[in-house]
Amino acid sequence: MIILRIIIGIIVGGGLAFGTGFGLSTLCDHLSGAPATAHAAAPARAPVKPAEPPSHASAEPSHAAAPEKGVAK
Amino acid sequence: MTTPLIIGIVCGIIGATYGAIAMGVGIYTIGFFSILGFILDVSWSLINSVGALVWLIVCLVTDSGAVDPTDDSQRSGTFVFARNPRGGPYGATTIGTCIAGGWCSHEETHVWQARLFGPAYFLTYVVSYGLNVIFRLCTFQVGDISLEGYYRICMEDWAYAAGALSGGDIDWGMWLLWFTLTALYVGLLVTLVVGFALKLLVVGFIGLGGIVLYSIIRALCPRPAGQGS
Repeated sequence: MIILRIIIGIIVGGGLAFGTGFGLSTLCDHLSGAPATAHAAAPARAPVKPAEPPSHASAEPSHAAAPEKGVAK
Repeated sequence: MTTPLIIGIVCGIIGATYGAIAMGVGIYTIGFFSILGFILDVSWSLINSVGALVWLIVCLVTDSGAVDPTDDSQRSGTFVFARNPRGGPYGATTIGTCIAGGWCSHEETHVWQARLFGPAYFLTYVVSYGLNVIFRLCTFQVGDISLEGYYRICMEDWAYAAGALSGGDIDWGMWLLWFTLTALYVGLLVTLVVGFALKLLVVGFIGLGGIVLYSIIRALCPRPAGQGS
């Protein structure tokens, strides 16, 4: 009988507490405007623009600054 | 794994632990208030149930004399210990559903206050005590200020007016009156905090004004009936 009561306590207590924590946290995220998932958090991909050469180009420009061949037209 | 899922799992583990201990000891029974109490204890009032578990451990470690569940203690679902680990002049201390110092309807009222106000209960209790001390000072009533501040905490006003210090009688008229006043007090505190947090200054000042007005009136009024001068 005691074992049965403990099992009921674990299932009902754990279930209600999980639902409360999960529900309130999701609600708070929703109200604060935070994304619910990592997928939704990813910003929309901006259209690819060709990188422009640095305005004051050095003798050896970095790879990041250099325009990619075949992209810029 | 998302943040809500992590919080849900943590709460679930706490709720399952509390549920297992409470059901194992048998503090709840088949009855409307007992079942409602359990539902609130593992949901809205879970933070107070964590406090109850900590207080339960303190009572066990200090050998405060665990009392087997009775019809009285089961009607709302409470752990009861015969002695208060705080000792000294303290009668009984209730945290969440754990009563140390003997069951009575005064302490049972505190159990329901925690269930009804959930996360706001303990904060409101502490803020009310602090403001009572400040406003007793401001009104030049410094004698026995700690105890006078305690007697004017809205939750204590409620419990002294509605409950008995021995036995299970409840004055339901006073219970509802002080529930209303305490709900107003908590509402003003929430208005104050939310108003200033959201930079809604008018709302914030309405909350602040209400709390100041309540505290001044209460500081000038006597202790609850039957609790000395």
